[in-house]
Amino acid sequence: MTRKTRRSFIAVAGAALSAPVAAAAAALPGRIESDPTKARLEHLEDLNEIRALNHAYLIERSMSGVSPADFGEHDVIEIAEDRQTATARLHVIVHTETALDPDCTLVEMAQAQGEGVVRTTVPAVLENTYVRRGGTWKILWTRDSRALA
Amino acid sequence: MHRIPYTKLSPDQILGKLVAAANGPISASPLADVFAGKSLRIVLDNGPVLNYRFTDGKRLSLTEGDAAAVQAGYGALTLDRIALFSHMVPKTQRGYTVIVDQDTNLVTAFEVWFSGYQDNREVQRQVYYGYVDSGAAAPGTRHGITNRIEGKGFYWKQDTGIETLEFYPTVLYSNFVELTRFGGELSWCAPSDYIRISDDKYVYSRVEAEFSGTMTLYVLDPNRVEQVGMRLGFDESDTLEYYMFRGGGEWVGQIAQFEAFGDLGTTLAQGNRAAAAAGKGARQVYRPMKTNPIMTRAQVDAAVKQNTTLFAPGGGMAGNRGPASTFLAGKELTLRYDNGQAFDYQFADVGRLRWRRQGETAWKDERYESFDSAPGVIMFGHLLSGARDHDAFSIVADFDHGLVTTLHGTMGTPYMGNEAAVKTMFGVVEMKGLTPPKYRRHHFTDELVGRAMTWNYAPGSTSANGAFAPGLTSMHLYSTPHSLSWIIFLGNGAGGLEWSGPASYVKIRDELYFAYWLEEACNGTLGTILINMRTMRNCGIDYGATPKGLRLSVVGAHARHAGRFNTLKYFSVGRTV
Repeated sequence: MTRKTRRSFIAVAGAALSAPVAAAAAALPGRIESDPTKARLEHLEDLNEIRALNHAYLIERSMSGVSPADFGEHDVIEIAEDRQTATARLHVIVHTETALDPDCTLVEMAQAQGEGVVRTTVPAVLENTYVRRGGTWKILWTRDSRALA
Repeated sequence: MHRIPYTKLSPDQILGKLVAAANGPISASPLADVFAGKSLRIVLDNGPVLNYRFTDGKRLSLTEGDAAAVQAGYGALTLDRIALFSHMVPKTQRGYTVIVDQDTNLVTAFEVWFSGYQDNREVQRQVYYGYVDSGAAAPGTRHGITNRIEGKGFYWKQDTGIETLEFYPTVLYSNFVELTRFGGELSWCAPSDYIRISDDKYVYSRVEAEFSGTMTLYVLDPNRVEQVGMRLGFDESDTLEYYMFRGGGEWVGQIAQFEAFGDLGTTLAQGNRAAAAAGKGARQVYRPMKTNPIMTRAQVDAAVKQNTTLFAPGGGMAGNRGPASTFLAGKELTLRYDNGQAFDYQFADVGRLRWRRQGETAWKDERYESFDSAPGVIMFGHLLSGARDHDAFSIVADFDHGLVTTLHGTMGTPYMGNEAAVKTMFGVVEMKGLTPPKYRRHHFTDELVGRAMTWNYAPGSTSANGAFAPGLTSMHLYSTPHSLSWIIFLGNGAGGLEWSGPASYVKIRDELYFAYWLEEACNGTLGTILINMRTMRNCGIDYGATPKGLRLSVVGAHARHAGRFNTLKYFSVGRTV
């Protein structure tokens, strides 16, 4: 998590709202930057890269059932001032599919035709930490709120 | 059919037996000469181009694509403007049965072959759709799979004299009763095709997979209840059956469909198996003996010794169970059966009982489970620990009338160590304050025959996006007085895989029935349920053995009526077949 003392950029990660909020974030008081235009550009590049990383992560995870919630409107990305670390809170829907124990023919037959599972969906918040290595953002770790509960 | 040890024929044996098929199928009815002297160029989507030249009503030549022409005998029959012809390719194990709509020129072609599965005698088929190339532009439509005849049932009598009941409760399988060949006691299930030609003409086929492997394929008219078709395979004596038939019959009813309105079944909902590779002829076939290995008695004994699970919570079929009954707790009683056996019981609480055979002094402690079904009617069950055959009782006691019916399950049959057997015992309840009847008893009934009921074993769930997923659900079809079929739904609510087993039905009260079914030639489980058609729910106990051990497990489900086939008259003992 980002410590309160850390000066950082904060942006809502949702595509629809991200641009104006990111712009506002770049203008936060206390930001030290000799070239505001360059800083803002770098910040937008970081945000875009992290968003793309999140997008790829969710696509990959959707194979096992994670999808974004609310079009990402409530997601928050914070980028450290040194641009080497970042954190994000991503609101997602976790889809679980648990195969029933095939201890009876009914379940066995259902599974043979692609059913026989218990499906649930749970809203969760993924808390991601990122690091930039070799100029590229990577997810350092992620955990979801269900694991914290 | 479950018990017939069909010979594992070799490809050479099959080839030898097919020599006679080179002359074409035989037929009790006169064959049609609708194609005599004609030529047909049949273009099949994703399939070969078939060039036929029909010399007369019995001989044809076929060119498949660029291959050399072959001569073969054939047979053809018509149903209105639909013509069906069938032939084998001489000196091979393959052939074609082709359905031509002479009005639209649309074609459905079944390529059939033997030795395409590890059981060589099982007929394989690939269905192609296409048209007769008349030189004009290709038609823009095709025949195709359908759910428009799902749920229908027919009595058929072929010109051979063979009578059957045939039910189409799913889009993947069908259920048939051989009234003539096997006496009409049991029903069996087979993977099937349902193809729409028009709203009053359909193509149906089934292959008796896991049994003889025989294919039955016909065009039917559900209005007039007429059929023309062909049958290909080897019977229980390994004799070739390859004949055309014409038949008529009776419409016996229509049971419910559970797809969304507007879903016409033009695709199959295969759930998370949708991406499964589909080779030529591939389809969903339930092969229970592949996943449920036969165990010896010694293996069962060892498994039982290692693990016996009694009423484990959270079973897949208990999601809609009712609360455990408290009725029996603290009671003492005797169950006295008409076969001379009597058992004393003491119920310590809602889960523990003691029993002993009357006359014995030693009590045995057991775990039991009990359910309230109707006022005064309790179902309970327990193991008979230490019994040689790992015996278990599933008991329905009517305390208002002093009557009891018990299904006495034992593990092991001459066919499988892990297949349950069952005997039904009728008797009375003796306890303080209760005067049992001397003559009245529960009794076997055929009141359920032909009925279909859905059973939902677990609550559904709604996902965050609002999509509703039903919990585990099946449908029972009480197909004959002595058998039951169970149907598993596809993701879109269509019927899917199906299997059947011997069953019996005991009437406890009006709208209250005690049923069992044996998952014969399958996983060997004995299912016992008390069906309450007023509350539309059941309670029950499954009894089975697997390599993992012996188990008694709870069943609890909510029901819906799914309709009824009017078939009882076909099972009358006095009926001459």
